[in-house]
Amino acid sequence: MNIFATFFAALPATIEQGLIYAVLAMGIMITYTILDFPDLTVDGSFPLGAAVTASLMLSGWHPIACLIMSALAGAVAGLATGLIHVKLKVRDLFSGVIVMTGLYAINLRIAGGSALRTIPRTATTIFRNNPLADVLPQGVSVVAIALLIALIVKLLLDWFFTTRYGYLLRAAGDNERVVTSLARDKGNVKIAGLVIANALVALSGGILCQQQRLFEASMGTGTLVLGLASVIIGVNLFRGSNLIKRTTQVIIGAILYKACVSFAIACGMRPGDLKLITSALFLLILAAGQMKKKEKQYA
Amino acid sequence: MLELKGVQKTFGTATAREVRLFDNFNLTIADKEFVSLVGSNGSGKTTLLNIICGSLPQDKGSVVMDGRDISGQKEYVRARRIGRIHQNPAWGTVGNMTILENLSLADNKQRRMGFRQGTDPRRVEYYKELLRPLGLGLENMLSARAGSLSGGERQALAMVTATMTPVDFLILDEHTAALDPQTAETIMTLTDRLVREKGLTTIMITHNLRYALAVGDRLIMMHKGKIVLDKKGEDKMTMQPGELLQLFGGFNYETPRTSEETYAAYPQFEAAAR
Repeated sequence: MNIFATFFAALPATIEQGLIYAVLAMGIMITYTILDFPDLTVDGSFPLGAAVTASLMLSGWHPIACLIMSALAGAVAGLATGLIHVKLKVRDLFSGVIVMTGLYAINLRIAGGSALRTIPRTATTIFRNNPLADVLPQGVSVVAIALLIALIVKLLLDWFFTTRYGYLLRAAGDNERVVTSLARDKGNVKIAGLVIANALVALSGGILCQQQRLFEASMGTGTLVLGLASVIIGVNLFRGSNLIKRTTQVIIGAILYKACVSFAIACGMRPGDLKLITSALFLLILAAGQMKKKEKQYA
Repeated sequence: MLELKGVQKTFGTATAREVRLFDNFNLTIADKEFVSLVGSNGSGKTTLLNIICGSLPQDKGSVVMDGRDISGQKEYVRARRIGRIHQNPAWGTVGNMTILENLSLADNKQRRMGFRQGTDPRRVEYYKELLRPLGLGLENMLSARAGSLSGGERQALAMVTATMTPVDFLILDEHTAALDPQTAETIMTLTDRLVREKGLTTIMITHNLRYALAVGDRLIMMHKGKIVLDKKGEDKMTMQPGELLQLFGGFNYETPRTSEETYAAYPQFEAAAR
C-alpha cells in the first residue's frame, strides 16, 4: 500500500490524538517556555490522570467528574514537585524525577495494582454514548469533542495570561527579580505554574484514557519529550508572528508532531524504533533550546 | 529612618580566601536623606545594599527600619517599602512584556494578585502621564516590548515602575553606569526629581564623583568595608571635586597625596569618626 494512502487513512486518528496531546503540550508550554523549568513530573502526572479517570470510571463516576478529579490529582503532583524544588532547594530536573518515580507506584495503586486497566466499549465516555456524541455525525464526533476541549483549555489559558496573576507568572519566567520587587515570593509563583501545568497534563491523560478506553502504567514514558517537541515545533513554525497566540501555535505543533509520527509509521518504521527517533528529536530540541537561550541573553 | 547596627559580614568563611568585609559596621540614614555612596570596587557598597534589601544575610548585627528590626524579613517582604534599581537596565522590567504590561504589573504591586484583568484600561491615561515627563516618547509606544527598548529607555521605565506604588526607600546600585553620558545625565535628572517629589530615603551608589557631589545631600565614601568619609549639608556643598578625587586616589593607590596625605596614610581609616 502507498505510504500516503496509509498516512491519509490514519489522518482523523492523528488529528484526534494531536488535539488530545495539545492539552498536554499547553501544560508543558507553561513550565518550559514561560517558567523555563524542565519538568519531568509530567512523565508521571500524565498516566496519573489516566489512572484516576480509569479507576473512577470503572466505579461509575461521570466522565466529566473523572476528568476534574484527574486534573486535581495532577495539580497535587505539580504541587509536590514545586515544594521539593522551592522549599527543599532540589534542582529542577531532580525534583521532577523524584515525583515522577514516586508516581509510578502511586499510579499502580490507583489503578488497583494492575499495570493495565481497560474500560468496556459500552461505557459512557466524553467521546461515546453521551448526548453530544450522539447528535454529532459518526466519524467526526471524536475530533469535534477533542477540538472543543482543546479550545476551551486554550481560551481559559489565554484569559489567564491577561489576569494579574497571569502577568506575575509571565514575569516570573522572564525576570525573577521583578517578582521580588513586586513584594511577591517568586517561589510561590513558580509552584503555582507547576500546579497549573501538571493539572493540564493529567487532564490530557484522563482524556486520552477515555478515548482509548485504557490505562497503562508505562504510558507516561516520553511525555515531556513529546510535549516539548509539540511546543517547539509550534513556536518555531510561527516565529516572529504576533497574530497567532502562543497557545494556538502549541495546538498546531501538537497535531504536526503526531502527523510526523504517523508519517514515520506509514513509511514502515517499526514502533520499537520510534523511541530512537524521539530521542534524536529531543537532542535536536535541547540543542535548539541552547541556541535560543543565547539569543535571549542578547535580546 | 534606616539603621545598620554592628553588622558583620565575612565572605568565604573557613577558606584560604576568607575576607571579613564588615566588622561592627554602623550607619544611620535619616528620613528623606539622599545619600550618594562612592568607593572602589570591593569596598562593600553593593554588599551594603544587598544586606539592606535582604538579598544577602549578614553574619551578625541588625538592619533596623523605623525602629523595627527587619533582619529576619525576606527580601520580597522588604520590597514592600524598598524600590531598587540595578546597574543592568534589563533587570528592572520584564523584557517579554510590553511597556503597558510592565506598568500594570508594577501598579498591581499594592493590589491582590487575583484573576482580575492584569491591565486596567482606566489607568492607561495615568500611565501615560507618568511616562510623559521622561521626554523619551515612551507614552506613545505602550505596546512595545520592554526588551526592545534601549538601555536608557528601559532604565527610565524601571525608575517609573519601581517608584510607582508608594515606597519609602529607594536603592540605586550604579543605575547609570551602563548608560552613555548623555542618557546617564537624563536618568540622573529624573532620579533627583523623583526622589524630591516623593520624599524618598535614598542610597545611590555611583562611580561618577561629579554626580556624587552634585546630587544628594550626604556623601559617603567607603574603603574596605569602612566609612572613610561622611559629609552632609554645608560640608558636602563646599567639598571640591579635586579633593574627593585625591582622597579616592589616596586610598586606592600606593602613594597618597594630600587630603592630609590621605588621613596620614590611613591608620585604620580613622576618618570614619570625623
